[in-house]
Formats: sequence, structure tokens, C-alpha cells
Amino acid sequence: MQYAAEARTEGAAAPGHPNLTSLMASVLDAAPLLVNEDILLQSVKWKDVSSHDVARMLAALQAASVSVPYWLARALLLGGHRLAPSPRPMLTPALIALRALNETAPSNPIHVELLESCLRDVEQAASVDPEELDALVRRLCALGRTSASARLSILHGSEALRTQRAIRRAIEGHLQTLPATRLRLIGTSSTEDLAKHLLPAFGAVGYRAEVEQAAYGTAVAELIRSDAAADIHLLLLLDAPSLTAPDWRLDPDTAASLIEERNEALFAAIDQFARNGGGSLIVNTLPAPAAPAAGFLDRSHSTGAARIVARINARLAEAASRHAGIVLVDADASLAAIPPIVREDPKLWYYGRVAYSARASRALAKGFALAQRALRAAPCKVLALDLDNTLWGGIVGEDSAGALECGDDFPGNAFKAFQAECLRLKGQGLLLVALSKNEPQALDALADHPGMLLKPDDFVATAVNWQPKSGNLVAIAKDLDLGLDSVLFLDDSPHEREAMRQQCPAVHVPEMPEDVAQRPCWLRGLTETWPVRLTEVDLRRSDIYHAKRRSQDLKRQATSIEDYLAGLQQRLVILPVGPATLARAAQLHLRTNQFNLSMERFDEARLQAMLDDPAHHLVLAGRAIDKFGDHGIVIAATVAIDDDAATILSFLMSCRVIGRQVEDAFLGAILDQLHQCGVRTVDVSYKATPKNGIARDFLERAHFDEVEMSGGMTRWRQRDPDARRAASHFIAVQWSV
Amino acid sequence: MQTAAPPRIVSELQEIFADIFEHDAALDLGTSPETVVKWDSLGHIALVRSIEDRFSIALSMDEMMEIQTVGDIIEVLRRHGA
Repeated sequence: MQYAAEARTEGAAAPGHPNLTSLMASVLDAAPLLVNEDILLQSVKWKDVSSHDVARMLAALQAASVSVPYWLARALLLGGHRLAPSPRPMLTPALIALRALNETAPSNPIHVELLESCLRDVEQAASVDPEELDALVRRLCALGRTSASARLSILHGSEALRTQRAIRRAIEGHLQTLPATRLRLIGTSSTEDLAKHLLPAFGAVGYRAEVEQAAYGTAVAELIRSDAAADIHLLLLLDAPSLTAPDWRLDPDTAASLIEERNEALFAAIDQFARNGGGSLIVNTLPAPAAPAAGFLDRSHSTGAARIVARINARLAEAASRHAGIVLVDADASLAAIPPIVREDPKLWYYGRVAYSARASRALAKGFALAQRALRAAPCKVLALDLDNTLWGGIVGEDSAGALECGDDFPGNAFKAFQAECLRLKGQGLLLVALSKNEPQALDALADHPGMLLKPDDFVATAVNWQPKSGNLVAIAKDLDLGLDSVLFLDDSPHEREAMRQQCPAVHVPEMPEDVAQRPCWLRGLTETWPVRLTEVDLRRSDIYHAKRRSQDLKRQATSIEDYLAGLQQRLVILPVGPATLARAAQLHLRTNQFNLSMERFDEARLQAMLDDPAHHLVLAGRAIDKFGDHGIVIAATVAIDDDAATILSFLMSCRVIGRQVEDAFLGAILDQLHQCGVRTVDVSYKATPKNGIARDFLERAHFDEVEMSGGMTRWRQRDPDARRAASHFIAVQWSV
Repeated sequence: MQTAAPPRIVSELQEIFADIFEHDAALDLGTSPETVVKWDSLGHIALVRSIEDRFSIALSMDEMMEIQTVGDIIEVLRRHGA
């Protein structure tokens, strides 16, 4: 017996039944009454109702002055219907997009710009209801907009659309356009399920995951193996059942110490992996147990599940703080929205050692993907903030200064908490910028109002005027020598956000919660600001930029560039990279996009590997100091030396000091050093990108010639090694010992 | 067991089988791992999860073992009132 044919006829047969048809007609006719009574209409299958009948019902509601309640509007939109243009309830971004799609017809072609703006809102939404997402994705696909459909489904992890081959193909096509990242997945339980969820999770943050799975139960062996390629990132999936089960035959203390002993092999392997320097390791912590093993004593008793989990997590945190290549995915944070009791599915654990439920696997995959993105791409460097109703409640020009809400009382305390989060981010190295459509003196509110936590000099730049914010931001970013893609823009106005997205698509513009009370916590959760590591320079970055701005003022006063440079009294201290400077050197490799010759992203592990082979490598960093202050380590390079030939593998400089000849002084010192070591030929690897043209100009200025090209990488050679380097500069160079 | 399965359920199952096993042929009560290539032990996990998701039910370990054919799935769903 075949069911498929029967299934196809069902939709047509049911409404066709005479009784049902007349019953439906009565129900629709009675709609105004039924809405008020809140009955019957909820059970209508709207996709089977004709658009004509729906239009009639909406007209009847309007005639009776009954407004369309939210649930009905939602059900109609999900069913593919148009809503009357009359007042409608507030809808989610997905429903607004559906409304735009439902209104398209042959007579009423799709309004592309409107639709795209709606879809952008859906993309930016923190979460989308699965049913609404599914309907939207299917509808887009049916209209031939497969790439939009694929994008949305990847971003928000739609599950149901996997049933549609066309969308699946579109998703695969979309993933192909993303940069690949190679992952090797190991675990203490089955990793199949996580592997499946890694693809969409990585797709959502902009990468195509190429996942290899290690054989079951080989986690420790894989970690110890030292031959892993450096460009493969290891993901280690840990789970509580595998790591925390005591042997109850033993007395509790012995059982607990046996667990620790057994797990020590795993931790030792993690340490070994980090020492091998074979790339990065992303590992999850253990989530809080769903049930205690020692009742009320669970946190204190030696076999308490919570206690064992806490000790393992502490051990993981210790390993991560010791080794830069290890990043922890905090399971409790990743799984926060999922109740502990449904984070696992016991029958699947017993059936196939599947440690996490599907929902939990999906959430963990997202955590792994975010960690990987943070390792590969720099977090945002600039926090651009609106003022009115973002930093404080009320409007400067309209309310008196004292009436602005910010302080210790409700509702100003929510704004104060938001300001505290901004200060936290400043401390973490983000530069604060004020962007406001206001009279220039609006910023005085920060100084004059006693409740404000932020002060005017917390901002490295401000644009408080009536010009478009996008233009102001472009000018400020240029002034700071930072790309727009490193800017995070927070504004309570949806119009300003939309305008910024349109004018400056590279800027990160998250949807900020309408409710002020939600915002402090929301800002903490914004992964664009999550650092993988913090260095000393991060903590002082605002001061450094202030010093830089003062020196720019000098630049405007100076009559010639030479006067200016001489007046700066610059010093460059060259330091061989060591334990104290390794993190900063790696951070420069990771973050620098403009003055970066080879675009090599050497992480700490790779740099450490070079330091371990000093006969063939130089890893140098430079600290710039001028009369305005210490800029910290702003330049770094790595060199491979093979007998009398050397290749500068990487050479990069923070954009903070571009135009100060620091690069000339640094390269000069390196060439001197290489010459002293007997090197005769010096090559440089250069990779052209849309942003690093300035680095190419530098090579030409430094008398290097392009000699070879392979792939995107070109090799440049010093024209006349014997002449060494005579480029003059105004910098006193000294070697640190 | 021989009472006809609600077509709604069958069409849902048809979608699930197409999704996780890439099995597009029409299902019948006897459809089993022998006729569905990808219905192996890993596939069984995916199948159980899809059924739970789609019909908003939770299956027990016994039911997980009981499911050997499409007919068994329909029987289990009937018991859950899906």
C-alpha cells in the first residue's frame, strides 16, 4: 500500500467536503465575534483557505472595528496571506519580511529594496522563531531567491528546510563562497552529531568548515601526535559522563582521586599538544550536571558531580591561561538557553555514546564556531556610540541637563549600567567614539551630569553635529587609521542603524534591544567584542590613541614633515620576541590589515616554533616611544635564515604609527643585523590585498624589486645588498638586551 | 496495525526519510533498514531525533528498540496520540 498518493490528495479533499466548506464559511463570517471570544479561529488551517475568503474576513473585522490580534496576524502570514493595510500589531522581523513576500503577486511585483531591508533585519535579529524562519525560507526558495534563503537558514540554523533539496543545494553553494577552515574533531564521546552541526554553525560566522573526524576514543592519542598540520584546528568535545563517573565500589576519596588520575592523562595530552605548537585547540568546558551525585553535598563532597565538574573546568581554565593556542568554549554560557535536563538525551548516550541532545550539540557547535572566528579574525576595535537614549535617557536639546536619566535611580540606573559596560569594553582595548546628531555641546552632559559614569575624555574621537553619522564615522575611522570593519556601532534608533548599514556595510550594526533594561546584559553577549586574549597594550589602547591625537595636532602646526618628525623625538627599541612579548607579537599578526606585507597570521604557537629554532629564525618586535608617550609594541617581523639567504616571512606595523618612518627604522635595523650574520640575499614575501597597498609602496621605497610571483604571493628582493640601507629617518634606534 | 495510518503522518515521515536517508521512494508499513540504504545505527539516532522533533514527543529506550519498520513508527506515534 502506498501512502504518497493519498497524502497528496488530502489537502484538496478536506475543504472540498460540502459540510466542511459551509462550516468554514460560517466560521469566517463570524470572525469579528470569534476574535472577541478568542475561540475557533485558532484551529483554522490558513494555508488551505483562499485569499479571497481571507480578504473578506479582514474586511469584516475592519467593518466591525475589531483589530487583528497578533496570533491571527501571525497565523495568516505563516499561511501565505496578505494582511489588510489597516492597523496591525507589532510584528517580528521575520513576519514583516513574510508580509512583504505575501504581498507580491503578478500584478504587484516584489519591491526588491523593501524586501532586502526586511531580510537584513531578520539577519540581524538575535533569534528567529523556528516556524517563522521555516516559512520565510521556504517562501524565498519558492520565489527563486535561493541564495537569500540559504543565507537566512544558515545564519539562524533552520532545521526543517533540510527537507528541501533546492535549499540544501543553495546552502552548499553559499558555503562554497566562504573561506575554508580545516577542523579535526576529537572527543571523549561520539562526535558525529557535533560534526553535522559544525557546518551550519561555521557558515553562520562566515566560514566553510572542512571537518575531519578522528576515530572514536582516540582523543588523547590525537593530542599527543605532533605531526598535525599547523593549519588544522583541533576541536575537542568533552562530556561529563565520560569524565566524571566514579567507581562506587571504592571509598569516595579513592574514587574521586582515581577520576582525577584518569583525567590527568587527558590534561597532560592537552599540555603536550600546546607544547608541540601545532596550531590551536578549541575545547569545551563541562556543563553543570543535570542531577547531583551527592545531594545537598554535591559541591563539597569528593564524589559530588558539581564538585568534580568544577575541578575539571578549573584544570581546563588553567591550561588555557598557560597556552595561547587553547581557547575554551564555556559550555554553561553556550547552553544557557537550554535547561540542563534536556542538554542530554540518556537513551542516545546508552545507544551510541551520544553525550549531548540535538539542541545542545547545535548550541555547542555555535560556541566552537565563535571561538574559531575570534582566533582567525580580530574583534572590533572601535565602539561607536549614540548619545540620546543610548548612553542616557532623554534628549539633550529638549530636556534640561539635570533631567537626563543616568544615575543610581530607576530608570537611569539601567543607562548607568550600560555606560559601565562601555567602560569595561574600553578597558579591554576598544576605542570609544561618540556619534550623535546634536549640538556640539551635547557631550558636556557627560561632564556636567553627576550620574554619568563615562566622561568626555573617555572618547578618543567625537562627531556631534547634524551631518549623517556614516560620513562622520568614515572620517573618524580614517583619522584613527582603522578599517570600518573594526567598528561596532550602537544606536537606539532603527533609522540610524539602517542608514549606517546602507552607507557603511562593513560596520557591525547589531540590533539593540528596545528595552533599556535588557541592554547591559545584551552588550556582554555581543561576540564581536569577545577577546581571545588580552595584552598590556589592550589595556592602554585609549591612552595610546590620545597621545597619537596630540601628536597629530603637532603635525598640523609643524611647517614641514621633517620638522614634524624631528620634533617628535622618536625612539625605536628593538626587542627579540620572548615570553613577555609573544602575545603582543601574535596579536599584531592577527590584527594588522593595512601595513602588513605577507598577511601571514602567525599565532603564538607558530611564533614559538620559530623561537625554538633560533639558528634559522629571527622574531623581532619594536617599541615606539616619542615625546607624547610610549606607544608600546607597534611593529614586528619574522625572518627565516638559510645560510647566506634570508626571507622576511612577515613584517607588520600597527596603523597607529603609519607615517612616522618607524617601518624604515625597523627594516634598517633588521637588514643591519642580517648583514652582520653573513646574509647576502634578503627576500620579502608580499601578498597584495585591497588594504595593504601602503606596504607595497614601502617595499619600493626601500629598494626592493619584485622577482617572482606564485599564487597571490610575490617575492621581492633587495636590489643591492652591499649598499645595505641608507634610508634616512628621524628615529633613534636601540636594541634591547 | 493494519488500520490505515493518517495521511498527514505518512507525509511527515516521507519528508523525514527524504531528509535524513535521502530516501525518496514511497514508504509502506514494511519499509525497514533492509530497503533503506542509510538506515544504519547512526541513521537510527537521526531518525529517532527527527521523529521526536517533528511530532513533539519523547521516545523511550524501549520504543527506540521497538522501531524496526515504518509500521512500527506509525504504531509508536499512534500510542503517543500524534
